[in-house]
Amino acid sequence: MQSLEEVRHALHARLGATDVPKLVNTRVFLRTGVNLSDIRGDQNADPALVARVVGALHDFGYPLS
Amino acid sequence: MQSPSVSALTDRRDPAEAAADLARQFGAAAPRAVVFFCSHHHDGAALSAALRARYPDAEVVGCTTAGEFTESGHGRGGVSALALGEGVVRACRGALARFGGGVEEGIRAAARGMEEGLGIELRSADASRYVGVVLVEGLRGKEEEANHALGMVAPTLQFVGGSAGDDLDFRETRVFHNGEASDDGAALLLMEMAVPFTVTKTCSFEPTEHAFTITRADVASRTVYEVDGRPVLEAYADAVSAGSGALDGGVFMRHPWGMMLDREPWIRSPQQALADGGLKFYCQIEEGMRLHVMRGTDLIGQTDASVRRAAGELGGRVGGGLIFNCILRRLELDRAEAHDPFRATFAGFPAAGFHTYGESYLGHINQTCTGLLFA
Repeated sequence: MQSLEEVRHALHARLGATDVPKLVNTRVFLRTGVNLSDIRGDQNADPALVARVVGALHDFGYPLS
Repeated sequence: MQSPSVSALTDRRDPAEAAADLARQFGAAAPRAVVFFCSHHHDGAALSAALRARYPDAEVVGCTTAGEFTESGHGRGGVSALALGEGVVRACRGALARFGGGVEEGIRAAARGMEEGLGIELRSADASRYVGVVLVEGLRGKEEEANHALGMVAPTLQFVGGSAGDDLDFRETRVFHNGEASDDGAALLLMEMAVPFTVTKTCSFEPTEHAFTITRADVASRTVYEVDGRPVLEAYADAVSAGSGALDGGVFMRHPWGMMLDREPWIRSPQQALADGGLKFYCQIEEGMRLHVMRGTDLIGQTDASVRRAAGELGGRVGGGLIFNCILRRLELDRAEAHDPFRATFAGFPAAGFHTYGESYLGHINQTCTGLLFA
């Protein structure tokens, strides 16, 4: 995945919902600084950050690939 | 009548005497769980064992503190405790997560024990029924990893708590479960609640117009070196109108940094300006994170407001609570001689709490008061 928007869409597809569960979003935010419900423009295409968020989601049991 | 929750506070130092005094205050309560917070001068393992001996059907968890309080008293050098009866807790299981073989491994082993004891899977447990308490050793800097590991085993369950203290000695903090102790681990308590509950998180800060993106940090040592490409001490000093040499504990307490999520601050408190130009925090901060320099508001007012919000969520009345209040907030209360008004925010329901070396709720945070309140 190339962007956090793609990560968010993939997570929505995996969860079958349009909202990231609040607790999971908060856990990801505290771990990475990314709010998947309101992605900052300067973060969106940062490859290292995308990898960190994908990794955190994987750790929490939400693998996206 | 089902037992509710009962708070107790004692200044007895001997473990057997302290347990007896707490039990006397608990009265006829038949607790499913006893959560206690004791001075580091206490033999907490012996106290835990003595309480377990009195209540063999209860899970007993606790930790050392930087001060203890209930809704009716506070001090340093004593023990505060809350007995949670069957009217509050339907079932529970505690565990001691030992970190010697790795934090994640310790949390996973403890989680397996709680799952087996309760006959549930944490990943699929109903978050409207189950809630956890986490008390982490407070000097080894493993809180982030511990909270992350809790997210790995139970991503949708709420664990709330704090880091054990030793009243600013900074030598040793400990956590306890059923007579066992650890100075490198966490005490966990997972409860199936019989009543509605809510987790509270409050601080007394709001963001200033000064916000930084972290551009160089050493995450493991919780140190930031550059923000927006500038030396961190220079940028921070400019934001608070201080010379970099004047960045001291007073500035840090008045102007911690905060990550804003949906207009809610998650506080990271500076600890020390380092000779190598770094700013060491009490929390990890990653490169790329954006943080605001904060300014103080009203500690008592914000705490009271959070309790009122919780009461509203619980149907208008709080039946009891566990409170985890940052040591930096305690120092502010000390200076303002405001411990009585702070405790008054919990008036009307049994509460037990302690002053922590950091708060836990979904992650590790600072200069915050977290709590588990229930109907």
